[in-house]
Amino acid sequence: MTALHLSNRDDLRGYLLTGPGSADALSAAGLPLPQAQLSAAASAEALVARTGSDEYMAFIGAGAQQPAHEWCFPRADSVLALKGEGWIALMAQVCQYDFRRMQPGDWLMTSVAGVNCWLYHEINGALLIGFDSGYDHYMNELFHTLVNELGGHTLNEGDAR
Amino acid sequence: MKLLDCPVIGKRPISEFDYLGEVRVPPSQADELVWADYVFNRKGAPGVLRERWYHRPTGRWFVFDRDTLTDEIVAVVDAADVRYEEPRYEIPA
Repeated sequence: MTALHLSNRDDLRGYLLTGPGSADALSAAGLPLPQAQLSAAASAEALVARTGSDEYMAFIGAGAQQPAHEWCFPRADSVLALKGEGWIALMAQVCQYDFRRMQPGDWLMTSVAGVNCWLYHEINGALLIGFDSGYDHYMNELFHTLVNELGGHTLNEGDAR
Repeated sequence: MKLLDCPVIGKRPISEFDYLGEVRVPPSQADELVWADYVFNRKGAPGVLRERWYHRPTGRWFVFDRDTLTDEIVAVVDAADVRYEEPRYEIPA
């Protein structure tokens, strides 16, 4: 297990797709398509969560194709990536959810430090924490402080992979 | 911390929810007494109450049948089942 560290996933662009045809638009762009509501599917360059019967949130890297759809709106999420030994202990300080139950591939929408967030546990072990960028300063300050208190280190650039 | 055990999204802190109260249908044609009862009175006795809840992190509305004595969610109700026609009100002359 590696040491705890935190990074910003500025490489991800977020989109909300809604309405009939949203699933087809994701498929046409070659993006993963989660089947169950409140679940997510990931590929090497994209993460897609199904948040309603015909509503999806997509976060795609530079190498993935943007979905083309009439009801495709850009989102302004900030995304933190937390990885390494002690991440569960850190999250226990800011969220009531029992992260020992969270498995790679799991998607969760909950309140973290009082902020509405989505969370995704990547296959590589990193926990992605997405939230409205209006809380960027607050969440960055908070998580950097907690990571430093727990003996980890933080990165300003790059990702958790 | 008080938890709401939602059959759809699991146990969540009550602070993640907004409570919208009992699902009630406004009277379409009623006198002042009926309207006063609708506007001012609520069921307070313990028992199963059909209520609206909003979960902020997922942005989802729920209609629950909740036992207000035990806090148990007895059933999740489809929103279509509590839909009603908007009454047409006549403005008194």
